[in-house]
Amino acid sequence: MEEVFITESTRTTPYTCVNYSNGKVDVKGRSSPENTMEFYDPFIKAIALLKETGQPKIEANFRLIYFNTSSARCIYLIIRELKTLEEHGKKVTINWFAEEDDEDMVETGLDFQDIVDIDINITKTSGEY
Amino acid sequence: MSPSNLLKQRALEVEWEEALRRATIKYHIAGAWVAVIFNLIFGATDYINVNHHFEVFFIFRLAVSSITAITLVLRKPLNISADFLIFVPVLLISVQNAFMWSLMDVDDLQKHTLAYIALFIGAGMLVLWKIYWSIIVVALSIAANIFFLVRNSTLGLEEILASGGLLTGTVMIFSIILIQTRYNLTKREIIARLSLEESNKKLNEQKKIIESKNKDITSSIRYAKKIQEAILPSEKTIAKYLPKSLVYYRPRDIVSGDFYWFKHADDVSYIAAVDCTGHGVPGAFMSMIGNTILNKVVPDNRTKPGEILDEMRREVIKTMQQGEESSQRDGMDIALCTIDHRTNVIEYAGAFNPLCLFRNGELIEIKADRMPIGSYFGNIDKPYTNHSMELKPGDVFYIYSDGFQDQIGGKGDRKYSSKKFKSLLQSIHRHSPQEQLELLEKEITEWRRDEEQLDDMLIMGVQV
Repeated sequence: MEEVFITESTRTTPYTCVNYSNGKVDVKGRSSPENTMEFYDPFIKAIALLKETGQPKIEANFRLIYFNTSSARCIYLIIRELKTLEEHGKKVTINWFAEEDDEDMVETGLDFQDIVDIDINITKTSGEY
Repeated sequence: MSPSNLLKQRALEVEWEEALRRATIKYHIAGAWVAVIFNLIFGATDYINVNHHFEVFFIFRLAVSSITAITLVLRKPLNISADFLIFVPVLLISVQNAFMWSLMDVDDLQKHTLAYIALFIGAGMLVLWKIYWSIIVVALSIAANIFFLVRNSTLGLEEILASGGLLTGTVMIFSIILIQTRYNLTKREIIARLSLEESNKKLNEQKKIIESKNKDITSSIRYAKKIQEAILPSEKTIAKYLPKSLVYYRPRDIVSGDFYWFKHADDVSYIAAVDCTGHGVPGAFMSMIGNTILNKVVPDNRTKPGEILDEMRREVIKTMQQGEESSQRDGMDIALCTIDHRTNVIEYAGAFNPLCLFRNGELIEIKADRMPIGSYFGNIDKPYTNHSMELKPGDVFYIYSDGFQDQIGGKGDRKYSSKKFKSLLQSIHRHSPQEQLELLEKEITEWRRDEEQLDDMLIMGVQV
């Protein structure tokens, strides 16, 4: 297995990363791809592969500035996949970062917490993540 | 290398040789004419330096110049190559110099060395040919020197070498290197230029294809826009029942995933601001589905918005066959309200998109349920909440998609934010609908600056 799965950020897609050696999952930037599933499918599959690693702890960090309605659906699927990892005995921590004055992003994080029924740590940050 | 690449490689090889020939032929012709004329003019130096040999030297010079001139004249009829054209004078002048040397004493030989060297320096700077031409010239020059010196000269080998022979030989060798270096540089430059031309040509072709495809796609989408516009309620229809209302509608692309909907039945106006997943063409497809479903599920008798959303969600799931996991991805966010013109009661239900009402300058926000119209966040059984309140004269309310408030811009590329958006609405809600439209447009343009529009934008406002 490759050590990491990575996509660099573009104008319409975020940086995504699954690191199999330390169990870290990252999503960072803006998300409004023309075809959201096409973009997120490989990432979600890469997250699912964490099941097969010996990593007992998984840490996922969401540092999103903007995402559109259809990306929201994919983020839901990502968080659901993380929950599946938990059911496979991993200890999953999800960190949801929002810029200090971005109440909407905080609220969206809370929404995902309710919808997927998993604990999400919401952190406000100032300036650059 | 694939056969087609091999073919291209061959074509390039033929092309660069042809380009090199075209580049060098004029220099070779000019050089040969210079040789014809100056070889004769330099006869004057013989007259001054070695007067006693002037006649025989001049006959030799005349012969060399004549042969060169004849080669030049016959170039076209005999199809003489550019290389051979310059090979003739260079070789003949070298042979001529060898002959002259063989008749000179040490003093004259020294004086003449410069003339011999000049030949090779000139050739080195002017001639471009394959290395074998250089080698033939040098080999034949050495042979000619040996031949004439053995035949005519009374000088010893040491004297000849010391009085200019060695120097001339060195310059000869350097001229080979010089020609070869220039040849390689020129070849490389030509090949680089040809490859660049080739890729430019390819790029241009591709550009043309892309432009024409883009044009086709764009005009096709423009046509689709007409269809999408046809399903939107007209301003006139809305104004008939809600005279002081506004619709701010800005698709991100030509067609939109946002749409608005209106119906009036039994003294009740139904208005909806809908944001489908996706924008552009997929968003527009979804909007057609949404529009059709709204037409289907809003009956002519009075129905509560919450119930309409419940029914709408069922229909969307059914239509999109969202029983299957793979198709559970699309749907819509919505804010739907009804205004009962008899009782002046507004009722509202929402999927993610709230309703903002201003009364006496104060904001009353009715939050939406956090459930989309669709099955993609699971939970499809919980009914939508129906809100109801009495409208008072002077009330102004808005429903909208998230496109405006999520637009990135300003200092440090931030989202406009719902908070800022609500205070914008607060500051403009007393203006006339037309003024509000202008203020909204001005505000978002200033916010956005160079940033592209990220999503469709839709804001509907009603002044009671």
